[in-house]
Amino acid sequence: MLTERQRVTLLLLLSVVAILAALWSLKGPWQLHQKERPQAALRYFSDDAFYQPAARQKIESPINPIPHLLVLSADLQRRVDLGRQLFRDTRLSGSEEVSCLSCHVPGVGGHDPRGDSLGLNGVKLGRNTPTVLNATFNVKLFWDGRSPDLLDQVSDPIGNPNEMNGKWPDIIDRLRSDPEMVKQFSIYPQGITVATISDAIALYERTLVTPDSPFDRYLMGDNTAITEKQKSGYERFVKYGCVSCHQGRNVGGNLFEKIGIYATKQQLEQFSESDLGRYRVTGDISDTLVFRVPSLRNVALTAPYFHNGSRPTLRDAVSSMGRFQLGKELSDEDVDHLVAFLESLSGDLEGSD
Amino acid sequence: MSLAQRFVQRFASPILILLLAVIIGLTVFYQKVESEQHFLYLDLINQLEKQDEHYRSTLLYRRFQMSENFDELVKVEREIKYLLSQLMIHSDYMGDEYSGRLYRQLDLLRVRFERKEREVSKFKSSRALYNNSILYLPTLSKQTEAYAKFEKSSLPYEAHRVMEDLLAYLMNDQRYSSLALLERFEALQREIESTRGEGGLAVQGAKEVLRHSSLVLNSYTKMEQHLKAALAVGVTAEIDQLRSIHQAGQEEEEERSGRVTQLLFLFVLLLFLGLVLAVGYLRRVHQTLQRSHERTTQVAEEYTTIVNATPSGVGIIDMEGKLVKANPALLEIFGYEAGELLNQPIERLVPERFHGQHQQFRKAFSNNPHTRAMGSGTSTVRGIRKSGVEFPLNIGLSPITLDGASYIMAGVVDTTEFTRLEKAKDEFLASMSHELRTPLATIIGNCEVLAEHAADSEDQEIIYAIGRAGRNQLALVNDILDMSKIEAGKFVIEETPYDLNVLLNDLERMFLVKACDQGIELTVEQRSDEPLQLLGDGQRVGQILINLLANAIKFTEQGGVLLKVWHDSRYLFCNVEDTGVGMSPDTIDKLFGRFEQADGSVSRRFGGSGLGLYISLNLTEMMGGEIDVSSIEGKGSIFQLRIPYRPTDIPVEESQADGQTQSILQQRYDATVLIAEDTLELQLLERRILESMGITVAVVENGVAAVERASANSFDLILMDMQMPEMDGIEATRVLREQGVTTPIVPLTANVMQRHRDAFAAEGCEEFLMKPIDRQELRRVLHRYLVEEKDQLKLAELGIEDRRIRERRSEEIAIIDDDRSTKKPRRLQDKFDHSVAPSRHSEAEAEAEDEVDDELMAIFFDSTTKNRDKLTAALSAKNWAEVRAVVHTVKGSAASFGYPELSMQAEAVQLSVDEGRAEEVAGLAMDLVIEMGRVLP
Repeated sequence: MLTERQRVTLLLLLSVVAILAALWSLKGPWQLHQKERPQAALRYFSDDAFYQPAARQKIESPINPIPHLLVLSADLQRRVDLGRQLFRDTRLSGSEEVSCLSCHVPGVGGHDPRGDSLGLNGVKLGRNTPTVLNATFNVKLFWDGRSPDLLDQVSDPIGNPNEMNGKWPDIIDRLRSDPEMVKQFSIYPQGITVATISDAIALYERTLVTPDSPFDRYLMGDNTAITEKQKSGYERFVKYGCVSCHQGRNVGGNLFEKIGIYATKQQLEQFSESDLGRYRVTGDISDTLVFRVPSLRNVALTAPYFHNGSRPTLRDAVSSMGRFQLGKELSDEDVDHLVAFLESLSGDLEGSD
Repeated sequence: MSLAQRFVQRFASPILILLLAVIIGLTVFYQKVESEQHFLYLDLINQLEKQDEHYRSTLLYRRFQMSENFDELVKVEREIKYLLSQLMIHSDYMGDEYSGRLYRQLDLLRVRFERKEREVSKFKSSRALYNNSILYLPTLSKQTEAYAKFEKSSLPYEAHRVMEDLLAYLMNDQRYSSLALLERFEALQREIESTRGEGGLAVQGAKEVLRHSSLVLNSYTKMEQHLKAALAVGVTAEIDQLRSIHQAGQEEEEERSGRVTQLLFLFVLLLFLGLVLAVGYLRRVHQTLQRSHERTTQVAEEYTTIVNATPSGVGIIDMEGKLVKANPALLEIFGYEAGELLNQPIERLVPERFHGQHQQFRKAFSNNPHTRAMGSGTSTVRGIRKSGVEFPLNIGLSPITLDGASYIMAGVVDTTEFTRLEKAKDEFLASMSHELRTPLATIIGNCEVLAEHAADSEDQEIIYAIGRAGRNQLALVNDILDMSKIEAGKFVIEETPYDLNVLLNDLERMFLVKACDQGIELTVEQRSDEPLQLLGDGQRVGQILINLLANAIKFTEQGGVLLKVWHDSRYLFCNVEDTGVGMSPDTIDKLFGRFEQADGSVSRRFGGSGLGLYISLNLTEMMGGEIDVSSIEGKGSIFQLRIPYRPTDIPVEESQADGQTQSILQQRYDATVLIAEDTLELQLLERRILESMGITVAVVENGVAAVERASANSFDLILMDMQMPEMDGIEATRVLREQGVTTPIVPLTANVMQRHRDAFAAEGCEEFLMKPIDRQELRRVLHRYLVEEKDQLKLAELGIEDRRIRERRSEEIAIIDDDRSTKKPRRLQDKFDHSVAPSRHSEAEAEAEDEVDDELMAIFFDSTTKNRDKLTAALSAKNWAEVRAVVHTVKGSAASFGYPELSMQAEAVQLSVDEGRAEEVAGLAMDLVIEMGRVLP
């Protein structure tokens, strides 16, 4: 038979094999555990984490007030703070001279007062910079709605050669070489990645809301919040059908619409190729000249107007809207009243910084 | 294995527990993760379904409520998107197959939702337009009514009616269809065109109505169309499908995890069992080992105790001659402490003058190890105590192997006391024999004197009786002394010529009176009257015959006793036949035992010590003879003594009454012998010995000369030295044999190595003589070649009778003068007293010594002096070949001239030269030079 040494060796060998086999059988759960980690880390925060629940509106209207921000949870607040920092960080651009803030100035209206923004090398971008304020309530991002949400939107202007001209690998290298940044990013298990940078910025942008506009206060029952003229403007706003498109919390922003419904052929021919709008996204010929209906929140602060910034004043914009979208020449009185109403949509910019 | 064993012993239990904990923990974790994943996924699917339902209902039921806006739809869309992404992420946890299916299904859902969203998006746009226009319609309606009042045209009415129909259609009036409305629009359009020019405002109003109405209808149609399309996008079924995939995946996963759990359980069980078995087994092995270790220790202790308690010294010596172990007895014998002796050369225990010799023996033993006694023969081994006192000891040697290495085990017995006792016993016996005999001699002698002076025969009888008793007593004492001598191995059989006829006459005379007294007849019968001069111990032969005759007469009450003597060529026969009581076979068997008589009753009846036959038999055997007994109870017995028949022509000396040792008889040979020997003194010695036997001797100095002489002249025998200059003995023998010389050649050499013997044997040498020369051995060899073989040759050839040849040869007989006591060198005698050397047969040596007369010794001393000078010169020149040559010469001559120790040292030097141990050679050779100097007078 076997010698003692051989028998002991055999037993040990069997034990080792058994251990290995047991470990092998645990391979499955272990791999699952491994696989799950990178994706699960980007924590999803619903609107409930940001905003107070909507209180009952006193005046019934297709327009709803902008919700107030909650005191954020510590975890969320850290991310938001990081996002605020990144929003101002020029390292996100190729030349390290431009930041998000260069074109989106939350304190004055979240838009670019220059209208048709100047890009990196002074190139006209051909678009009126949309405001970042209340952008979270919009249905899609950009005039043509090419981006589904804020998170997705972040990389677009950063990577655009005419905007920030940033290269993600460079940006990440730059941020990773900054110990302070590395420390701040420690809230993310993944550290500094495209996803976490975008996430922080997007979360920050979700805090950029402007509640407590006079009209919102009026909706909530404060009858004195707006003037009689503004009330009359609101009535006209409803009566003329403006409210058909400009409704919801953002007074617009939640649907796409063709521009120039009542425009003549000649007028339509004035549009250039860059005005093809949503057609460029969907490829649907019926989407030609279709743009996202812009929000009218803070509209008095965000001149110039229209997708191409072609109307420098609100009055111009209002009367153009009546002519092309309603098929109606608005009287000066109408325009006065409508503009007065629109001014009541300017909210509290203090929190949106 | 011991390492693994210890490892398992120490760590098996913790490892076992740890492993179990890890496996159980992982299993639980795995199960929990899995079930959590299942619930999460299911929850996500349910949420998705709920959101879809919400989406649907929002679209269906809230489309016309003014207070509603599109925010809800946006929210739902966003929620659905989030849920889909979450589902995507969580689909990973399934096996690859189901993950893939889930992904595909989710992708399908995503596409569906996107399509739905697109339709919803279009719906929203259309609805906004519709909403916008429908709000404007009442205003427009009023306006046309007003126009109609101013204008006579029917146009405004028409327009108003179209608008009314549109509203009715929008209010779901079944009488209207969109197609009919479109026809009305076209009719209105035609009317407007036909009334061109007249009624501006009416036309204007109608145009506006038509424009808005068609827009409303258009957007309404689109709105309805997109809504229908959005609702038609089937999602519920896909979600169900997703759920069922998940379900199936989950079931399989559960099955698999169940299997995994089972497997895990099995593995754990196996592991547990395996380890339990292993641990148990190892524990058992360990216990067994421990037990056997204990047993071994116990046995070792027992043995240690035994060895320590042994009164004999026991020592273990390694192959380098170091004492490795010693028991207390050994230390006590030599008077050392353990520390002083261990790992020291064993030579410390040997007197200094034997060191070289001892090393040689040690080497010899390691070359051919077998159990034997140290030293041999009669020589005594001597040791030296720490105090410097020499003492005799007995040493037994055994080769042993410990831990794979070879050692020599020595058992040492201090024989000081034994030697002393032995000596005391000898002295006692000697003195006893003297003390016993002296009064008896006085008694017997005085009895004889007294008998002559006795007054009358009656007194004489009394005195004779006393004398007889004394003689009996003397015989008895002699018997006892003889017996003790025999048993001590000290009985010496003499070799002297005696006349058997004289002996027989004496016996007859001795017993005739006694036989007459007893009334029986005593006859001594001899085959011839010629004088029987024989060689041997006549006294002892007489003693044996006296014994036999005395017994025969003693046990014979009537009839007679016959002593019959005859001989053949080899044996002398003496029969003692009686007609006495006889013996049974049993009695015969016991007859020759010590103190045995036929039976106890015999002792009482006949007296006697019972030693007679025992002594007789021993004496006979010592003479090379036998005693045969045949007996018939009641009829008589025959004792036959048979001893070698060795006739001699040397006259018997008369003066041997005092029992002194007789001179040695030399047989003379008529032969020529060639001696090949290179050492001068040995040439002389051998020549002298051979010439003393009447042999003509020729001497050559080397092998070449030997070959020349032997092939030129005819010799009867050649004595060939082994090692000679020019050509050695073996070579010379081979050359001679090749040349066809058949003369017997006997090697005579100091080289006693078996391979040398074999080399000679290969050349046909049957005999082999060693230096120093053993006279008896030499005589035997000479006798063989010069007498027996020669005689047989001649007998065969000529048929001449054996006896005549011997007679012819006997003419040359001469007696060698002998006076050994005066001629033996004093120094030689001293040396032999404490020699440890395995000396040759002492008698033979004595004979050799006898030959060493002054003249020869002078030659020996002279050559030794020369050799010493040569050796010294060779040593300083480092001429090892020369050293070896000189040493070889010294070895041979020293042995032959009675300096065995010197010879031994010379051999040691030779050996070290042969084995190339140069470093030793110088030291040993210097010792030899010193020793040579000591030998010289």
